Amino acid sequence: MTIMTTSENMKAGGTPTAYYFRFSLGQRYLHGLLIAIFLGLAATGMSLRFSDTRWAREFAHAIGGFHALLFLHKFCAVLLTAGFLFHIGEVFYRGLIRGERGFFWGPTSLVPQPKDLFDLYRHFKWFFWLGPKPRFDHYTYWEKFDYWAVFWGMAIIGVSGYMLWFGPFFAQFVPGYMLNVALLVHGEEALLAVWFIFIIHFFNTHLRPEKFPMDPVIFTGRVSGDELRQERPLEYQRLAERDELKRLEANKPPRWLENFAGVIAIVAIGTGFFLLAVTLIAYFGGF
Amino acid sequence: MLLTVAFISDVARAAPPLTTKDCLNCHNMTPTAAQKAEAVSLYVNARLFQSSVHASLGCTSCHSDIEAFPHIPKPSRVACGKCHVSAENDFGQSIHALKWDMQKLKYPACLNCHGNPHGIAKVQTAVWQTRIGVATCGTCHKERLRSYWDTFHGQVTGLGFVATAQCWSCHENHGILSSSDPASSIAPQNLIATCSKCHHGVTRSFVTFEPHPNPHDRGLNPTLYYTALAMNLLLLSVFAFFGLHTLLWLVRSWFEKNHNSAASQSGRRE
Repeated sequence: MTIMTTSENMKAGGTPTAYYFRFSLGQRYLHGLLIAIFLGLAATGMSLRFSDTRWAREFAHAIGGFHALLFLHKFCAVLLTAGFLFHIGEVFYRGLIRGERGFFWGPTSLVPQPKDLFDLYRHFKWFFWLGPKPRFDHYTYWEKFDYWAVFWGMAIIGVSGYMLWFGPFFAQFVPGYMLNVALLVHGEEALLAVWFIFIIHFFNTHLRPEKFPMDPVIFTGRVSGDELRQERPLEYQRLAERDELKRLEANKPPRWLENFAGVIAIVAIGTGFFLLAVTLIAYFGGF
Repeated sequence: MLLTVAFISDVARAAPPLTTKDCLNCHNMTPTAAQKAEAVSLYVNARLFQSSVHASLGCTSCHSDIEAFPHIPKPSRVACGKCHVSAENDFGQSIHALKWDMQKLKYPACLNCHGNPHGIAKVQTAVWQTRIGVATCGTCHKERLRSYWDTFHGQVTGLGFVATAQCWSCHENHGILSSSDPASSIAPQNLIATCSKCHHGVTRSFVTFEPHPNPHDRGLNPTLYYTALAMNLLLLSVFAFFGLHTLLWLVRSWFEKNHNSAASQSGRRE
């Protein structure tokens, strides 16, 4: 794992602190970008998906009409594509060129491990008071699912989206009715993504009682020692055994950063819940 | 004073040209129940007429056989084609005209699509085209309209923008022909030309696009049918599994948190 070394880290000066870095500055920026782009794509795209609703029509007219709507959607799509390709490049660099140990397999990898299946099973047992809470490592199984769902979602929505954008071009290689298929897949996969993020991801990561109202780690980049020991005991144990904890030491996130994280979370979760409500009503009831 | 004298002397000479106001003196009166029951309504909604595209023309422009009051009891039908020559000509060739049956009124003529003759709206507006126009076609072509909403063309129209195709963009309006007519804009050999009105680089393959898709009809397009089925299964299974997972977790965590705050971090008690 690459761990950021910022001036904040330097200031800690080796004195033991109760905080450890979890996300690099690049990862934190990327997640912020992803939030903004995702909300932009969801708002513009869901307006088209549910174009017979009043909120969709009013939103489309408020942001400046059809051309503005489509421009924003494509603008966000190009940015997300760039982010996606940047990420693929990073994976290639870290995994293949630099050959980081444990990048594609092992306890710190995002690749699903046999342990994840056992963790899922044990977690369900814990839900029913039938066993202890599973001891998680660097990434839990639901975090891996989040990652891969977004990964394949981006690939599927991206490919179908570009097919629709350049219809006549793609129709040189596939039958024209595949554009019907592309629109269907684009819309349904997007609905899956929007509902999954705004229900499952929001709950798993931010809204469950242990974290409520939010887990700021993706913006502050660091977790407290208590948190690390309780939530990821295997990672804490491994880091302690290998004497790697010191390398990850961080000072307490500054006040402004915690407030900043809170503001972003309120805006993102608020926007997300609004989109969730109107799309659920449009899909199941219609108004 | 002078004007009044001139007006009175005009009336005295009889046969003054009728103004819209003159006609509305009678025809804007609230109709009685008996009048409402008549086959042809004589009531004209003055406010609706003032907002219509023909407001500036005046009644006698269309009802040209009425010259003075009192007027003949049964004025002839209004001939729209007197002014709208090309529309009349196109309509005369259309499938709607060929099948037009005065008794059943099953196939449309001018007013079936353009509505109340005294309230005919300007059709070159986004509101008319995206809200009224497509819905008008849809009153008869219900299934075609429903499937249209499932396309990008329909989605953009639904938002109220004319930027994509509406019915007549592909099917023509007054001169619409039967799809089996080789001269029709949607006849197979004309599809490339029709799609090319908006799209660049249209090929024979591109026009196999289905502008009226139905994901529930396996016969129409099996690929679309099975894709829709797979997508529905995917959504259902993901939300069934994670919905349950989340719900159970919420309950368990809530208990755990309350217990912990009471027993001050007893941790793994099991």
